[in-house]
Amino acid sequence: MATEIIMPKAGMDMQEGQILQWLVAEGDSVEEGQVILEIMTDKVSMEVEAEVSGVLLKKVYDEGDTVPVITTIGYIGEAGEEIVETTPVVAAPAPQAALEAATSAPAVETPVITTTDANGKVRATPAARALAKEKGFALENIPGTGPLGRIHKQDVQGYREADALKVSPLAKAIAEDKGIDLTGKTGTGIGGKIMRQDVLDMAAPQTAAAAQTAAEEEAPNVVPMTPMRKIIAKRMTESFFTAPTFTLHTDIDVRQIKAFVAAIKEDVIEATGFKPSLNDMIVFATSRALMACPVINTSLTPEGDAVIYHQDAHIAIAVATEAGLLTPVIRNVNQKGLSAVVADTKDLATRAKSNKLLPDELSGSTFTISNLGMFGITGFNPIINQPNSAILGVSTIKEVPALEDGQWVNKEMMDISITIDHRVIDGADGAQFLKTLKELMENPYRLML
Amino acid sequence: MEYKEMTYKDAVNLAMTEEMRKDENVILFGEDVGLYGGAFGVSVGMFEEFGPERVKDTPISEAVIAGCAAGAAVTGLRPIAEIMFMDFTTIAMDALVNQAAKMRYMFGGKAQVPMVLRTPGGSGTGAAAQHSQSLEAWFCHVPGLKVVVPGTPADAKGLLKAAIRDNNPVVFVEQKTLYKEKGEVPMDDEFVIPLGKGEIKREGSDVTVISYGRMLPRVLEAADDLKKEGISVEVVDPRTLVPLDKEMIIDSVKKTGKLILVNEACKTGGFLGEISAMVSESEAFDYLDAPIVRLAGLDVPVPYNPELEAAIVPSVDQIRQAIVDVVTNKR
Repeated sequence: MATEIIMPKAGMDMQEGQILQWLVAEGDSVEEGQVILEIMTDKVSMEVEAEVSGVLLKKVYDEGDTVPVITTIGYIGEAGEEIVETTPVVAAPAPQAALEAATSAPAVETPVITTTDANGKVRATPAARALAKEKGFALENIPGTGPLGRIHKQDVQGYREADALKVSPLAKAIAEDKGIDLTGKTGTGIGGKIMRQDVLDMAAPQTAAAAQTAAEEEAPNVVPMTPMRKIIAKRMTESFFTAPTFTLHTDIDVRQIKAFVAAIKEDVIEATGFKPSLNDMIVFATSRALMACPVINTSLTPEGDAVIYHQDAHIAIAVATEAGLLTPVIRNVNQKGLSAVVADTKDLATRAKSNKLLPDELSGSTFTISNLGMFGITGFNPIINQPNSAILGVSTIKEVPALEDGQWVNKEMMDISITIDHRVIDGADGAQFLKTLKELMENPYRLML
Repeated sequence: MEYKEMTYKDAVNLAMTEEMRKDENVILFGEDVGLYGGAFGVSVGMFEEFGPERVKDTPISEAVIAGCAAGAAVTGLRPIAEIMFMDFTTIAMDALVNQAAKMRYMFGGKAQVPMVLRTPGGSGTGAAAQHSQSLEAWFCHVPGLKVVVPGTPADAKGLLKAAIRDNNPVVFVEQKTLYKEKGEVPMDDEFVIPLGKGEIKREGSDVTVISYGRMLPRVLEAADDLKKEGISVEVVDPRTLVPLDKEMIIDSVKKTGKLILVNEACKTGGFLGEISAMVSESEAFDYLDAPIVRLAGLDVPVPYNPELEAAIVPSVDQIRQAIVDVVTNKR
């Protein structure tokens, strides 16, 4: 019997995953442990391995499809083997106890798979037809629960889009954007599923004709949110609207610490293979400042009636990737030497950009640092990465003239800001933290203490 | 507004009495409506109040009653003519259908026929096949006639006053078995329900049930029972069949997607078929999620045997079962 490939549940929060890429085609042989597809969870892409050796019999879902966890997405088995499909299962409408009590019908009818009648017509109510048309479902595929398999509106509503549409979500979005009616169309995907390229092919002749008018009235490009974008949106909204925050700024003279980085550069390269950066120093110094100011390294309990003081500093660094913002976590920074911090930071940032982080590497932070200095930003107020109580914002370095011992010199000043959750942290605590961090950065030898 | 509990019959009496006090052109005549107070006692006390000139007994000739009404109306009075049983309107048909219904049109609006033909319809009183029919569909088929079928005492009062004030012939179908049913009736003598305006008697979302007249209380009973079971029934009473409140019906069907029609009259050629066809032709079609179901009287002469007589019209149980079946997609 064929073995199911399921959408894995890779984290407690994971509800659904998107199929990024199938790495094998139907009919290909696969070995146990071979990576057969890539999926995308809320935050990260993952590889899915074959659990058994055999032949990939069928892909139930296509690239771009988003499916709930534990859903069967494909089958592996013997070549030519019949698949006993475990999906789709359309549940019978939940018979309300009340309805049953009121009806004298002896048994609840089991769903009947609609077949066309003798004349090739499908039994469906007008409302069901209208809804199926709107959703682009083929009525023939929808199991009807009414007498003689009649399809009611409820049956259409209960039908799973992924099965029915025969259109990949991306293709559907493109079709909507371009105003292409896919009703009655078939594509090159499995079972005639319409894929992105099919829609683009359909659009091509129209595009040429419509080119002149299109130039005048460009339709807005509506892009569905990726699961990751949705998560970012949700978390940021929650943070912004639950925590009463304010932001403190100061600026740090970075001449000393830059000289320090230059001085140890070769040693760090030798130890780690990576060049140390000013950002590494900020992460390192922050961990020390956090130990000196424990109230900053805290979380509010979910009930909001107690404060968790974290023993160690697990610092999340905000990394901009093509897919969106990621915050990989460097663990136990307070216990690590500079080389380890440099190595960890580089490793996490690199894997973040190539979307190879594991879910566990994206959670469990106690504090977060967001650095926009490389964009020339001179100061900003970051939003807290909950459940942290604070977040550090790092800006660019500006040269400013200053009088030092009667001499004009160039100071190199960098704005740093801290947004704090006032439920947990008071202004004086935040100010004390910035002062501590500033003193450490401006006097790097103190980091040795 | 002041309300008083009274019977359907007394509400009809009150409507006529109020209008006759207000307008001396309003008169009442028919078989035994005078000193006797009407075969069902509807006009009790009116002969005493208004005298023999305005509350008149007629010979036993429905042709005369309807002819006098049409003639009196076209010459300036506002007659209320009572036909003792709806079955007897057969004799009144020429005056009603060929004269009253046509005159305003054929005289280019120079003549008008402000008459009301009141008549009780329906079975349930053991009056057998010639005294128990529900013939409202016949009149609905004649352009120029308005047809009203009130199902509650308050509606009986408000609609009859509107019918008396209307400048067109109105067939006002009362319900024998509802005559003794009680309800709260507004005592305001300007309480008038416009013809062509239905009423949603119960708001609901799972199914629309349209009913009028004698079946309306049964539908309401079934709807109230099923509400306890979690089924939300919208009960629409059109109250007047011509003109029909199509908008209210279509909107309700669009909301619920399911339609059951209930009346007492025989199913074949009945007015339920007209409503059903109207809905199918309307924009509500695309919202229909179940076959339209008619619950109507059987296509038989009304039996004299009380068991059989009761069995030929929809019962509360049958209505309830039909609603459950339609809501659960079993029909």
